[in-house]
Amino acid sequence: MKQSRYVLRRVWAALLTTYVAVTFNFLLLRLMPGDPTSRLARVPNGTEETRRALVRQFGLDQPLWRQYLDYLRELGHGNLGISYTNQQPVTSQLLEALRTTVPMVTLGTVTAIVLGLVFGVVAAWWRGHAVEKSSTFVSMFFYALPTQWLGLMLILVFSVMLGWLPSAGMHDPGLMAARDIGVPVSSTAVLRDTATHMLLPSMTLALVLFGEYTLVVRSALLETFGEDFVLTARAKGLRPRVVLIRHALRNALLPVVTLVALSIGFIAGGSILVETVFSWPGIGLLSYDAIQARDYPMIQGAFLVITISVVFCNLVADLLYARLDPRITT
Amino acid sequence: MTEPMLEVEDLRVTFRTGPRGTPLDVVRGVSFRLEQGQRLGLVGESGCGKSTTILTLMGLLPPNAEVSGAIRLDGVDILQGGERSMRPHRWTDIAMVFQGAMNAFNPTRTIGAQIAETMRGRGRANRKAAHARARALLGMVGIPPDRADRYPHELSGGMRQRAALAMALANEPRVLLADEPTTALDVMIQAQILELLERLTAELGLALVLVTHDLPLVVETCDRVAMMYAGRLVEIGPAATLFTAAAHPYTRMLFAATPSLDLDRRVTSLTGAPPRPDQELVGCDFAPRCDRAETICHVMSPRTTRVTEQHVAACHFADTGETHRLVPGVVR
Repeated sequence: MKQSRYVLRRVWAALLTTYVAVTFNFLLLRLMPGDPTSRLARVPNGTEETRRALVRQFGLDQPLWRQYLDYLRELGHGNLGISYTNQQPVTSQLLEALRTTVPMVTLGTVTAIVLGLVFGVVAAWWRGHAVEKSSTFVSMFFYALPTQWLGLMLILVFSVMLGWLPSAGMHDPGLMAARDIGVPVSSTAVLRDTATHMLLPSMTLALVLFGEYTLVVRSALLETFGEDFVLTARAKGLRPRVVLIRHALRNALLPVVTLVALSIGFIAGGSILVETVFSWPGIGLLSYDAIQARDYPMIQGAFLVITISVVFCNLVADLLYARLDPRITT
Repeated sequence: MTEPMLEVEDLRVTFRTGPRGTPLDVVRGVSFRLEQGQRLGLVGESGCGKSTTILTLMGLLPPNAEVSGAIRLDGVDILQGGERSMRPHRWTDIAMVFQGAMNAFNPTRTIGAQIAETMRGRGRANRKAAHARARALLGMVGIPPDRADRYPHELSGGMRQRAALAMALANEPRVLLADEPTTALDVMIQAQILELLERLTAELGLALVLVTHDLPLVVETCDRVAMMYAGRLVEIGPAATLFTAAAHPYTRMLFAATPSLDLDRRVTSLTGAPPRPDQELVGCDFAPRCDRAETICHVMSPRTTRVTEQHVAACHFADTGETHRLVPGVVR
């Protein structure tokens, strides 16, 4: 009973948040200096007439509330509009970008979470020992590095010096060209090719992200170690592993769940830095270009994807929380 | 004579505080014996080493603690072997109710599961039997057995305290250590818990070590009282004797500082503070605060003197009797 009311409340809050975010996205773009035609107008032979024609075509001559209602109506029908820059439907371009971004960023994020958990638990367990110091040092070291610099260094080592991994893109151009002219290329070969291209950007992301988890896991665990029920668990003669996992970690992971949910939510946002360094044609690059060009529908679409993804993951975290911590629902 | 059930001999605990910090001598030579069914009250001001002594008995001190001395169960030292020799006795021979035991339960697991887990993994009970016994134990402390499926936050403070007591009894220990089991509870609940504690220890023939700074409570509940000051036991004796004829000035002054319903008696307060554990001490630890301190007290540490068969005190004037018997308002 209480449970279902809690779920309903959370879902309602998530829907409301999405609506507010969508409205903000819409307004924010129109408050930015410049408009979608400011760049097109610089095109050779572009005249004032062309510009006006474009403004009319995009519907930008309409009053703001009119544009807003149109946007909401089309959104309700699942229509994200046509890109101002290439006249292609936004939806299909977003889906394409998501397909490239999500696997790469997921691999990076999951690796970061696993690394952070391991380093965090190790640091907390060996509190005061050299093990703790080296664990936190390594985590902080990578956390402090600029993403793009680390990416470049990894390229230098693994692509240039060792020659083990490709440095850019997501396919070997030769392989793709061969397939395009009809040479039989097995799908496992393509998959393996993509995987090797994915490794460096993913690992760059994992390395710069995992330090945050290490610190959160470590401090949450240390706090829990000080709790009376952990002392009691030890007093009960339980094995250290049982005390750690069943009593300490179980409670320490509550704040970590929120952090994990947030980062999973941001997976759909891609990573502008990593995608730029490795020329990974994902949603990060897409939104970056769209912002440059004031491509309203594209930015709105990209932001919508990020909004929904973050809000949804938070909702999942809230619901998961209720399962993990029985105190929440009451 | 047979071996005492629990014997603590010259127990010392020192905390090391970093490579350059002064070592803190928190427990400085504590010895006592406990027989089956006996109730010992351990009394002293905050920071005198009561809780540390208790935690040492459970082997639960933090890693920066250095322990020496002996803890013998039926004549066998369980301290020497460290964690390995300590763990088999935890909760099976010696169990504990913690200070603020309301937080003794993991908030994410049910009460029943947490009581049951003390019985499992020791070849004692299968899952079903352990859970059934958890319910029975809850019933024993006056909690409806169906609360076993509830989470800690769904129980009141007093109930959680009872549940903690039930958990301590799960493996039928011989010794129960209770570290201020009634702090943070209101007076009515305190009385209930204490009554329960008394009844259960009597019924089960449990030996009890009750740590508290509530003197009247100790006199009422315990057979013997051990007074602790600055890491040492300064006086041990039958509760009634300490109440009426304390041999150590500290005990006497502490009793005199206890409010009473007797209007004729004035409550006197104990001035000063106990020495810090990093202080160098010369002479009697209590001398600076003692109202009877003489020259010898400031230069020589007193030996433990036997006042009567059951009554010892660490005071230079312990065996001169008379002077300390004049507790104002207590004996007239």
